[in-house]
Formats: sequence, C-alpha cells, structure tokens
Amino acid sequence: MTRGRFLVVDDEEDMRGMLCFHFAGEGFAVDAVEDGVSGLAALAAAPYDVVLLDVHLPRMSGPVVLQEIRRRWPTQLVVMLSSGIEEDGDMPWWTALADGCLDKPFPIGELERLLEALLHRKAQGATTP
Amino acid sequence: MRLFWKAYLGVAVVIAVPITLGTWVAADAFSEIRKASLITEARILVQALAGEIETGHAKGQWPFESLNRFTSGKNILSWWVVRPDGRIHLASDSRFMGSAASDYYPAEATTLGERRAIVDWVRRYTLLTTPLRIVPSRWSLWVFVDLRSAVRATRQITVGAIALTLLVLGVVGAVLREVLRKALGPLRDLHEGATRLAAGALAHRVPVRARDELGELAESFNRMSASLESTTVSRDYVDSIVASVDSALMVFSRSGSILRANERACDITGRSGETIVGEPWSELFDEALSAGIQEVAAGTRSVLRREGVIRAPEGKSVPVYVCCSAVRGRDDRPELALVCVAHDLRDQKRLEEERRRLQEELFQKQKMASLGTLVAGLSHELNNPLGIILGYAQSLVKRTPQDAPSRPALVAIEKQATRSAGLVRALLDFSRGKPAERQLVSPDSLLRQVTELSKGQAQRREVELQVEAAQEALPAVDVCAQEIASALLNILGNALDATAAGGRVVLRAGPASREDRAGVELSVADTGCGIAPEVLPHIFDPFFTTKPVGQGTGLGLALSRQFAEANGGDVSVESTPGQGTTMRLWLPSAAVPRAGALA
Repeated sequence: MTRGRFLVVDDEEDMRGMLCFHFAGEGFAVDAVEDGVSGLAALAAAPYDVVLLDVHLPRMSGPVVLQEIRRRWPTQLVVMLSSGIEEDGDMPWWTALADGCLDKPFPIGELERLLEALLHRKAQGATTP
Repeated sequence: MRLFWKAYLGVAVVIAVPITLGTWVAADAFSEIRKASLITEARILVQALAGEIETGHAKGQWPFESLNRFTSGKNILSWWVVRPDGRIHLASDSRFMGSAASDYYPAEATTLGERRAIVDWVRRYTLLTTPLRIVPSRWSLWVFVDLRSAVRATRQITVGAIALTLLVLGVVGAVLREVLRKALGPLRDLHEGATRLAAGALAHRVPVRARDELGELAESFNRMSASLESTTVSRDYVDSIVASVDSALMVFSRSGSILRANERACDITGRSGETIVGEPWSELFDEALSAGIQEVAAGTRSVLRREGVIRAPEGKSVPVYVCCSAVRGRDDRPELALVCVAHDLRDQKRLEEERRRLQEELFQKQKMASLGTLVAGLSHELNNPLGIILGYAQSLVKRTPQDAPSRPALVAIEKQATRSAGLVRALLDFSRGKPAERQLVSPDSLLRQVTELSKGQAQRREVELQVEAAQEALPAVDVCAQEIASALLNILGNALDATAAGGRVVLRAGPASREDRAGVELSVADTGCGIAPEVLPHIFDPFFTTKPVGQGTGLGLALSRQFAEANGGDVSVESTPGQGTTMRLWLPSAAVPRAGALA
C-alpha cells in the first residue's frame, strides 16, 4: 500500500529522476512525464493524489496546464515548482490556482512536509464531505 | 560784441567819409557861389554908391543919409570915403572918420586898384574899393561887404550834413545790430555747442535755424559731434563698460600694484573696492599665474592665457581663467599698465564635477543593471541543477545510516548545495534590489565560517591560514550573514589565489569607528603579489578581472562591495606590489544588541 500517488511533470530528466528516487524511497508511488500534454494524458488515464507541476515546460507552459487541470478535474491537488525567478513578479497569478508553490531549489524535506499536509487534507475531505 | 563795433566802424567810415567829403566840397562850392553872388551884388551897389557920392559931391554935399539908406538891409558892414591922403573922410560909422585907413588895413589897400576886393575870411567880410571921379582926384570909396551869410550857409550845410551823418550812422547801427544779432545767433549756438563738446557732452546738438551758410555750418557741426560720439570713447562710457563686464577686470601697474578693479573683481577676490586698489597683484594669484603675469609685465611675454586660482581671504580659492596683456597706446607702444581679465570658473567647475558624478553614477547604474540581468539569468539557470543536487543529497543523507563512510560526503554535498542555493537567492534578491533578510551575527562566527570553508583551498595552495582573535568581545553586526560570508569568502579566495605556496593569509576582527559610528573591521591580509597601482582603482568594478579567461568572472569583488554596502558597510584595499594586500571589510555595529539572536 503506497502512502500516495504523485505525478511529476518536469522537462528536466534529472529533476524527474531525483523526485522519483526520493519519493519512491519514501514509500510513495511516483510517475513522471516530461511535458504538459503528456501530463494531462496521464491524469486522464489514471487518478493521482498530487501533481508536481514545473512552471517552465515546453509545448504547454505550467500555468496553462494548471488551468486545464482546474477545468477538467477541479479538485485535483497541484503543487507548482518554479525556478525562483518569474517574469510576473513575486506572486504570479497562477499561485492562486495552485494548492502549493515551491521555488527551486527547495529542501526536499520541505516538499515532503507540504505533500503530506496536502494528503492529510485530502483524506480529511474524503472522510468528511 | 566786438564784431559789431568792427563792422559798425567800417560801415561808419564808409558812410561818414563820403558824406564829410561831399559836404565839405558842396559847402565850399556853395560858399564860393554865395560869396561871388554877394560880391557881384556889392559891386553893383558900390557903383550905385559911387554914382550917388559923385552926384552929391557935384552938388556940394556928402549924401550921408542916402548912402546909409542905400546900404541898410544890404550885406554891407560899413563904407568909408577915403581922402587922397588916406584918411577916412566919411564913414557909415562916424568913429572911424579922420583916422587913417592904413591903421586898419595894410598900406597896399590904399593902393588897391579899381574894383579890387580883399576877402578876409577871418573877419568874414570883403573889402571893395572903387575910385571916385571927384575933384581933387584920388578919392575912393571903400565898402566892406558882409560875407557871414555865405559862412552861415556853409555852416548850415555842414550842420545838416553832420546831423544827416549821425542819423545815418544811428540807423545803420540799429540795422547792423539787428542783422548781426540774427547772423550771430547760430554762431553763439555753435560757440556754446563747442564749449559743451569740449566738456565731454558728446550728445549735445546745436539748433539749425535757417537753410543758409550758418545752417550748413550747424549741420556739419552736428555731424562732427555725432561722428565724435560714435568713434570717441568717453570716460563715462569706459567706466560703464568696465563695470558691466561679467568677469574680474583689473588694471595692474608694471611695478606690481593694482590700479583699478571692477565690482566683479572685488567679488571674486573677496576684497572691497577700497582695499584692492594699491594691493600687490602677486598676492591675488597662485605661483604659476603670478609668474606668467610677471613675464607680461617684464615684456618677455605678450599675452598670458591660463587657468589658475585666485586666493580669496580665509584660505578660500577661486578657480579662474586669466587673460593678461599689456595695455597698448594709440601708437602700439606698450604703456605702463597691464590689463587682466579673470573669468570665474566656479560654476563651470561645479557643473563639470556634477556631470562627472552623474556620468559615474550612470555608469555604475548601467553596470549594475547589466549585472542584474546577468545574475537573474544565471540564477535561473543555476536553480534547477542546484535543486536536483540538493534534492539527491538530502534524500541520500536521509536514507544513509549514521555510520556509513559515505555519509560525511553526502552531508558536505548537501551543505555546499544549500550554501550555493542561498548565494543564488541572495544574488537574485540583490539584483532585484530586494533587501536581504538581516540577522544579528557575531563577527567571530563569520570569520570561523569562512575559515572553515576556505581551509581546503588554503591547504591545497600550501598557504598558512591564520585567524587572530579580537582582544575584546566584539559587538554583533546586524547583517545578512549569507551576503557578508560570501563577501568575505570572495576576499579570502582572492587572497589565497594571490599568495604563493609558503605564504600566509591572516584574518582579523577588531572594533573600528567610522564617522562616529561604532563598527567592526574584518581584515584579510596576505603576503601575496600585491595589486598594481594602475589596476587598483578598478578591482571593485563588475566584470573586471586579472585572472585568466574562464577562471574569474570579474564579479567577486564587485559583489563583495555591493554586499558590504547593502549591509551599511564598505570595503577598502591597501596594496604594495610584491609585498601583499590587505582588504578591510567594515560593518556597522547593531544599534541594540540582542544577545539571544546571535547565529
């Protein structure tokens, strides 16, 4: 029994590898895709507890993927991973749509705590609708 | 009115002389005519008288009564009947009877021929004699004819002529006076105009009263005045020019004193108009200017043009541009004076300084802007790899047992990746101008931190790294520890790079005040190669590096200084080529030390 299912959408192979390595080691089920289109396809194919979505993605940028997820699966939990500098300023518009945001580079423990909190909230929401 | 008297005398002579001559000739002629007429009348009368006497004598009596009757009312003064012996026998005036006629008249009168006349102008009568044809013979009749009427007529003519002359002279005088007054009016105007012109009133003009020769004269006088006014420089004019020049204008004697100075000169030199005159000009200028002016005074140099300084009181100095030359006379001979114009350069210097400062500021801003762009791009590119390294490291540390031999390596990777991430964050904040988060740090801990991090590099380069602890407890500084640590690491890294094997790098911390602000000085002294003097001013410039291509970014010291300044401090450098360099990082002490917050 996994602690939860994550989908990593990041164009950088090592980042996907690192996140998979860490969270698989921690007992989570992690899938990873390299762009937004593949991410939306993966979400349509199978449910995930949390999507870890990179902001800078080829073909379809992170915020656009986030909008699409919100349109199709309004309750899907999404954590945005940004590269620390955004052209839109300190608080881009999409932070309001996401369930959490982290600037790279982040301590892995911090992401872990954020994900566990979201899973806990989801479990609460599931038991007390 | 001398001209009047000259003219009047001339006119009077011209008028009076002909009148006088004419009158004289006319009176003389008239007198002659009148006299001749009187004598002719008298001759007739004498013949009649002779006839009467002859008739009476023939009758045996002297016709005394009838003779008197004949002669009364005529121009006859008296008559005598003279006997042959020359005695007066009968006379109109009985007192003469019996006396000798020669008593009254010279002898020749008695011998006068018939009808001879003696004219005595002195006694204004003429004597007519005629022989009487009575027996015995040689009786004669003498008749004195009165000529005064002729003289009277002459006198009347003369008096009339004199009166006429005087009248004419009077009229002529009056006319002449009036004519001269009219003619001399413009001359008087010209006289007054010339007097005023001589006094310097170049703007004065004389009235042009008539279109005649005098009017033309007045016009040409006015033209001359206008020409003088336009070409001649009056003293007032010179004074106002000197006063209006917007530079210090001074006149010097060759002997070395100031003869004249305008208001601007007093203003620039900081002296009053009374004290500046007579002062030696060498006191005013700096040595170079004084020497140059001395050359002009000596004639070895024609013109001095140079920038320099005027010494004002209280040790102030005014930058000026000075032009000095000898005053030249009309014939181009140098006079005894020098003229000196000093243009105040204070405003210009201020503007230049301001422009230089703005240019410097702009240059700095441009450098920082490009630095910011670079840093932003760079950190964006760095964040992803750092995130991956940090993620793997932390993940591995977490699942590696405490006693595993690889654990310290993983911990070190995590630590350095975290430091790098922090530095990138600080760089990013800095390039965005976002103030870094400050905390109270003890200077010693900063030194310990950087020493720890640089120990490996020092060992590899075989350089002794020495930390000298402060004598006393140092106050904490309120800074972004990450920024200051990286500033120190940069400085220390440079020191280690510059020092050859066997050398030494000493880190010190000590109290230091700047401008009455308490603070701490962290110094890094090396025994390295030193910094060349021509390089020294540029070492803090962004992108300036002396390291080989690919080894230095040129950002290290620039960031160190930016970090120091962002935290209220500064960085200074002292270097002796061949002996070493000391860099000092000064930081202000925290205003209120919070003991519990020390990192």
